[in-house]
Amino acid sequence: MTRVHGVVKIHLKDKWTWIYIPWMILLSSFSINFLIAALAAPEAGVKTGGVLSIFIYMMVTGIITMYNTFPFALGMSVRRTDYFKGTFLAALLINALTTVVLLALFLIEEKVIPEWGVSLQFFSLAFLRSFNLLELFGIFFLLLLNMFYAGFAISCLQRRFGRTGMFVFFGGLLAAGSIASYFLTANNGWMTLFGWLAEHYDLLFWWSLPLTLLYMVLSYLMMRRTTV
Amino acid sequence: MATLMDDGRPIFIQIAERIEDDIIQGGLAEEEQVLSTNQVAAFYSINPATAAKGVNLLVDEGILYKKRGIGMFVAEGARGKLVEKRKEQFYEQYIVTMVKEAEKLGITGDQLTEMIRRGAEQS
Amino acid sequence: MSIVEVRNLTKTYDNIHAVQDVSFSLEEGKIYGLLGRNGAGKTTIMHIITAQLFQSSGDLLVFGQRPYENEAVLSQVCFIKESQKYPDVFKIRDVLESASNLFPNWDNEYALSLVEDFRLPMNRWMKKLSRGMLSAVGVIIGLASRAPLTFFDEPYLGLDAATRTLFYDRLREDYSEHPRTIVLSTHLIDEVSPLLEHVLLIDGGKLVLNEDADTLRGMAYTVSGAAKEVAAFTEGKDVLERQSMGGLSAVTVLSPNGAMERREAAELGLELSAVPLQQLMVRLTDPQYMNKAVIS
Repeated sequence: MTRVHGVVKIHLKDKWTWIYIPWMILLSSFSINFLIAALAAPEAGVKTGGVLSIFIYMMVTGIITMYNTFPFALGMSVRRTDYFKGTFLAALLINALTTVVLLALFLIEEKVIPEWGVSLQFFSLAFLRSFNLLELFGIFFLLLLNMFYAGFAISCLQRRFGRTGMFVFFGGLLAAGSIASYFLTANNGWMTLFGWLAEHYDLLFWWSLPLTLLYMVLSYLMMRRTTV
Repeated sequence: MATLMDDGRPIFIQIAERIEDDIIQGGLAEEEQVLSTNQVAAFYSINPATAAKGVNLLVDEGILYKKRGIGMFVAEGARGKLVEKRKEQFYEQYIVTMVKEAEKLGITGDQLTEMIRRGAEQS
Repeated sequence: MSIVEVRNLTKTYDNIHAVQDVSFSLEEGKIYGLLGRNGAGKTTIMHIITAQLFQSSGDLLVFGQRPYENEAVLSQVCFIKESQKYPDVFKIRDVLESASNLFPNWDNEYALSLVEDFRLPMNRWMKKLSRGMLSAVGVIIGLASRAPLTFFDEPYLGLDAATRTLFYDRLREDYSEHPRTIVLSTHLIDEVSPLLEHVLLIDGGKLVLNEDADTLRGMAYTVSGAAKEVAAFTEGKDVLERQSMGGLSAVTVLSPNGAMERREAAELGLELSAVPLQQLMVRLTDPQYMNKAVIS
């Protein structure tokens, strides 16, 4: 067994961070919405973005998993590169499984028990119904991976450059956001931007891929120089 | 488990001396097998390499010899050799020191001889 | 054959020299003591050798190669440290299984027998372990990994005397059967000193002593007697400590010719006593003892 494989196994043992907690959060969001839909039964039904919670939690997983397992792996004489590769394989595997389960729930909600019998749109949101199954798989999977590596990169930044690094980075991000927002407001760009987004949101999913790759490259470069 | 005296001398020398004592006192007969280095190391809780160094010291002096694949054995004539060596050391270690101490206390040569005779009779 | 070569290693944090110009080598199959006070720089040196920290300057080779991101080197090295972090949600079982997947020479049967010896609850969460149990987990990984180069950094914090003895016994037994290079970093010197073949003493980030343990044992001695005679005898010698009471004095001397000088002292009628390794180390790292250059 190579040591990359050993790193994958470390992640697979960490079921709380990767599987239990994300699904507990998602299912509690689902339960609450289900209860509202069943008990309050609003006329228009309940349409919620609660499914996003698992995507957001994947970012938390990216942050925690680095904190939890990197010092351990390094202490067990694992190369940083092997830790990175092992983490990547684990993220591919677990996010693929998560995606499959999300798709199954999507199909159940759409076809088997339509809207769970209580007019609840939780997994099969209307704007997603135009995609075929393969496209849906790609969208869910790439977004999960994107969120995971966003968190992972933040965690690498914190380990590599400490509090100062975090301060500089988020300070810079805020400044860049403010400047962009100023120009958009000045040129009446907000409307144009939203108009474009409303029409091309499907492209947005695919564009998360280069962003994910960027997060990965940055994480890797920072991790190469990270110490205990 | 036994402990060694930490008298500031190298441990391997103390190990060699313990084995020598055992041979002189008849605990280990000639042509008898001695403990392996790992057993010696375990017995005294010391580094096996140090134990080996002590045993090898005795091999170099011809007190022990190695039977290939079996272990270490006490050589023929080892006891006699050791007794001779110890007798020489006895003079250095005990007599010289004793005479020095006697001088310090003003004990004359005759008095010292008398004391030794008395000591020998009592034991 | 030397498996670790450290040359002029220096590590500086914010103008503080944690490690200063340290050079030494480690030979195959020996048990080393890396000794020194807390904060002397021992842990930093081991972190650098295992590529978990980076040196500011200097060079090092482990198994003839640079260790950084080097699988051939790192897979042969195991570093057990007191401050090792474990994943929060891991049980002892998870930690040992992970280690078994990461160390190529891992002996699982041996690991399980050690778990019984140390009476560890396999299904307890790592974050619920006492300090002693945490140390025992480290000890088990260090022994069962059978890495050709194994470092133990203060491996017995929180272990009682009986359990520490168990560790020394298991270490010695396993080393006899599977010889390898072991570095014990500790300040409990007396307990481990019979196990050590060679001693490296670090003080204030510098290597102050690099000597065969048995040679060292013979190097330091204390002479006591009439102040005048003691003074005459120790004249020109490397004195570690001087104590006097009335007309009597006791002086601790460090000398490469210890054995010969002792005989001389005995002939002069001076009283001699041994200096245990622990005391010798304490004296050598005493800030008042400045004449460190004598020993090399």
